[in-house]
Amino acid sequence: MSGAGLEDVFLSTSLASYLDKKLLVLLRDGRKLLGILRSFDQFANAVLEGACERVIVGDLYCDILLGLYVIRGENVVLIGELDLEKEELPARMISVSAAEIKRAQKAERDATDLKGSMRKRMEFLDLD
Amino acid sequence: MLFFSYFKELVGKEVTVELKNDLAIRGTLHSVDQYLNIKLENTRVVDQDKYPHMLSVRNCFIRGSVVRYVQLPPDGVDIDILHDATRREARGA
Amino acid sequence: MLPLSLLKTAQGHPMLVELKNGETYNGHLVNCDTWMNIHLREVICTSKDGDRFWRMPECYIRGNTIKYLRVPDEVIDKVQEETTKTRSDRKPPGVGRGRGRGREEGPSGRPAKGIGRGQDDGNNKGGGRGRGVPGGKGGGGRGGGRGRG
Repeated sequence: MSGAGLEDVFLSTSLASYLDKKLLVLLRDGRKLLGILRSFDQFANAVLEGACERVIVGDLYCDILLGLYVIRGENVVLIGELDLEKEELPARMISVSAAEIKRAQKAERDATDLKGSMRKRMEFLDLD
Repeated sequence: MLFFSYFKELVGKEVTVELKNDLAIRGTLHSVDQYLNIKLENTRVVDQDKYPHMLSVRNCFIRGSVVRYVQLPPDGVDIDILHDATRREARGA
Repeated sequence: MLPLSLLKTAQGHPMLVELKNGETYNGHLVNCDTWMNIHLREVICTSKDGDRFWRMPECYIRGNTIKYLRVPDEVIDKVQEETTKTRSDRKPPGVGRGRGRGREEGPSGRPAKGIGRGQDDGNNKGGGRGRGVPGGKGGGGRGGGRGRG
């Protein structure tokens, strides 16, 4: 296999065909990172340049600039190539400031926590 | 290596990959490797509304370790061949 | 240049390490190894929710607990300098490279942006991973967006 041509890079499952492209990286903790893939290895450890985190809460979103990232492969769920011709997000979505998205994120978190604690308190009712 | 060989036979077919985080993606199987990492082409997410950030993703690499299921086309399994291969593998061939 | 080599290049630089459990560690990288175990100095540890902090003179983090590392943007430029230095020993970077290499085919390719991507550390059963690749822009002038958030 050592004499293989360039096309093989694109036929294999390697990340080589994604190098120097703008990608979406999904992490196991649910985070969505955008950035340019500059390097990777056999564990899918990856170097993302100009990385930013895309935070989405409902129809609001914000890209928070982060910089140069080295991601440990284990935490990667998916690496997707963004089609630059297509809209990255549905038209209904609204870009907001970092402060605003953090507020929305906290509100959402508090709501889930509340739901969890309500459920706990109601457990004696033997729901579902 | 049995499933690696098996998935290689499915290259070019339309599959749905369901991940452990419940995200399900449909697309053409482009390639697999020995870790069962998967590359899909012409992808679309099954539940679009829930995953708006995936809208413009057309090709993707999925880490084998996060896959829960791969749903295959109905003609994707030749049971006899699979049985033979399994026995061979079990014998350690 | 593999991710772990980039990390090695970041020795002496400040960085942020987030663990799988959400804790973050800010400090200067003293050393790291091939398992991504890292040794930091002058460390500030932050709890998952970001409301508690601990200072410590140094700490050692086992590689398999790491989620990601955030390193200064300059480090990737430093990596490129070092690879061009070793590849074209005395040639100053960007000079005398224009001739004769242009459009030749073959997998050797030019070192796109100096980020080599070999997989020379054995274990190459799957075949085909990380060989040279076309694309990649010429020398400097990478896109903008480098500010710190």
